[in-house]
Amino acid sequence: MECRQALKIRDLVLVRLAGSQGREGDMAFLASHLASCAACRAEAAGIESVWARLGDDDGADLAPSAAFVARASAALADANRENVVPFRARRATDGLLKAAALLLAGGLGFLVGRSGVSPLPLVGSAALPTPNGRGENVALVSIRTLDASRAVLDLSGKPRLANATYRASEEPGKIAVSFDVTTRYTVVGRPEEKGVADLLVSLMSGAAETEGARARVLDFVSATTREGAAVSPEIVSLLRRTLEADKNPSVRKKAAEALVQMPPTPEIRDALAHALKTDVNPAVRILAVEGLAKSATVLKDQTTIETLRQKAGDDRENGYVRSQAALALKRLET
Amino acid sequence: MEASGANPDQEADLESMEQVRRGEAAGAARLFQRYAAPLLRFTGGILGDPAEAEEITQDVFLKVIGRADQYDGRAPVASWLFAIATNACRDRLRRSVRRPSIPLEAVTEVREPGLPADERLAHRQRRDAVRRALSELSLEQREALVLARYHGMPYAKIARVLDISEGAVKTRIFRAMETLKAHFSEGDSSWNAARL
Repeated sequence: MECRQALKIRDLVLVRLAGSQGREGDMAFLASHLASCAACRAEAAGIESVWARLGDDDGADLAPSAAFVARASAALADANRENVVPFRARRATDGLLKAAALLLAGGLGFLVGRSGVSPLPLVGSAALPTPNGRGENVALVSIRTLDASRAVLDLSGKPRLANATYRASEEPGKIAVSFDVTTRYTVVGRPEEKGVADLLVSLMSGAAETEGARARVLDFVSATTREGAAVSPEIVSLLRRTLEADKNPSVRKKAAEALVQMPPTPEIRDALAHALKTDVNPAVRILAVEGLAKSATVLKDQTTIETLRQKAGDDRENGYVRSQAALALKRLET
Repeated sequence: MEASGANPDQEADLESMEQVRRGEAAGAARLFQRYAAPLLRFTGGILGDPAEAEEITQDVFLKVIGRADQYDGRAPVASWLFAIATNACRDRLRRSVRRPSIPLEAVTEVREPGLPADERLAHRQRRDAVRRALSELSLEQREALVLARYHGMPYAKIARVLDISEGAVKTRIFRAMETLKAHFSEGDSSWNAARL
């Protein structure tokens, strides 16, 4: 038969296990009762046994790895700079980056759909299409690296792609994009290949859910954009939406950076003009000024020049933004 | 683990927050150094996925930088960090309802290189058995129990983190333990086998 104090004793045992003392006298009552009640002693032992068993999960696999610490530390340092320093004028476009073989924007997306290979599901077994269309069956869980010229991942279900990383491939002219679903995949290919383009669009458009993950995609797009190259409309459209709607200013800033890198188009110009008028973050507005100055030069656009002129004379605007707008106008005049 | 609960060095945490507000990178770095491990442990316990736990933990610190002005100093910094992590986990779980679930076994790896293979396997089986049992709890119960069991937080602190009353904390933990007791008493062959 259960002791009348059983509920109270269970509570107090848990309070004790959780490191609390309860009210004054509770622990003394608990000790005294357990000494005299065999049923409650058994009940307490059962609770303590479950509590002890939970200790079998020692969390060893959840200790911060060196890779995580390095990645997170870099992201924090980046975020710190972007959130606090008013704005650091961006250096002139890095020629090395522009010239890098990791060209992304050129043709990115234009070739999406051009490839004839069938999409490869991200789970289970799948046919891995070969260039000549004949598939070979492979267990996808065993695949670590995919050749984008031979396989296209099926991203239509918008799977969450975690821990995406981007790097140059060992093979000249190719890039490698890695991510986790049920295992870690690395897709290696030229930026214009469908598999790579699909993956980047997917990562930018929502598969990368966290701000840090989105920022990394944008960094990569920005760093691998080559001026003068054709730009995928899908990428531009995603960047525009990000610039307009992302709540994180550092993500919007990265979207603006990527757009400024690209050859000016009316859509890019309009996106930057909108940001200049509405974005609350001065760093984003400075980038918009830079991009609009470039647009005005290339597109010979009087409306853009007028937008810059208004900004330069706007008393309510941040002084640095105004001076940058004035500087851009001066450059346009010379 | 007191580091995640009643931090004995509140002043240091407040100083770190001030540094974050002033834009000094050292502030966020110090908070990361102190709380990355417990937050990773917490988010991993809630989400059951180390990769997601890393993402969420990193995001917690990014949010600290972005929202430093929102910290009013009324609650300890540790409680604020855990509250941010709790909300981030809830958001992630809400969003991932319709996504393919990832088997725990597929994403976890044992990091005890010194142990013989059979002991590593047994250890992993016991750990996974516990995580399976925890995953059967409601999110609310799991949050409260993980904070109590793995972070040594007393009820009052858990109540602050979860923004509920101490009575609610007590009820959640009590019910969680009842569920686990039933779960374990029903027999878990992998755990029992691993124990032998």
